[in-house]
Amino acid sequence: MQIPDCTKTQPSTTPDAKLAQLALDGDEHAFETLVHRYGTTLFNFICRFLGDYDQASDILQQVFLQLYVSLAGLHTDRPLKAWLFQVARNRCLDELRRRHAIHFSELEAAADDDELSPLTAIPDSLPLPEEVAERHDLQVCLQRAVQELPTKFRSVVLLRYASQLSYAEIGQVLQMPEATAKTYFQRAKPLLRAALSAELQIETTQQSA
Amino acid sequence: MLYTQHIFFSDDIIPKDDIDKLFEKLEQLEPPTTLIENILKLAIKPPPAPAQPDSIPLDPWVQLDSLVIRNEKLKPS
Repeated sequence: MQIPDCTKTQPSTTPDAKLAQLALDGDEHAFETLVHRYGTTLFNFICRFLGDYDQASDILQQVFLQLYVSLAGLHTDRPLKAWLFQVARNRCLDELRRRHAIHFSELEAAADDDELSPLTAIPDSLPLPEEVAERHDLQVCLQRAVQELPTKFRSVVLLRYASQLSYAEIGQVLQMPEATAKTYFQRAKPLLRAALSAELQIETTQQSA
Repeated sequence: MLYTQHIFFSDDIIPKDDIDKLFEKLEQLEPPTTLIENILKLAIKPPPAPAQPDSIPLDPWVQLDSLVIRNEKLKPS
């Protein structure tokens, strides 16, 4: 993993709203700090949501460009993190709509075959050690299970598992009460369990908490 | 594609179940190293010249989208 050069960026403790204001005032390093702060978690959310690594790169650029052009109009009383994830989710939904409109027949065909998505394919033609193969299989299974979720559940699950947002933050992103976000997450669990049960041989019955 | 291990949260009062434990193993994807550089280059470059009064206004999404640097060597997904 490449460690970004943060020597010129703002301290990691500087609040988002302050960084946004500094960026608006022309401080390039403040904007850079925001990009480094949220780039990876946003990328994980987008990439897992769409199941497409290259398209996630495009959308991440769009999200940060939208941030840059929207700096002047941002409400400082609203968390920037929630705003960023909301923009990312909206762009993902736009992309899914576009795919369904243009490539619906291709999507149907793709769902029938057993090919792995480019996201889950680790490019290595050599035989894999058993441990690496198992890890790879697990990643494929988890990604497939997430992709099978309805989009409203997929958002909650990925914001939680891939981007590690709190329920309060998920509620802000999806504009719903924290309790509803928690409920959505719990409702998604049986769907994930069902999707994973066949491949990973886990218990299909709900475990008591 | 680069991966790093998750640093998992612990703000949930509900005990972790089997699904939580499985997703703790979900590996974190790292964006391409050039991506962040591209974003910074694009965002911090001087703004485009203002449109001429008689020009046709573009959809803001199209304008934003046109700034994105795509990997043209890849097949469309």
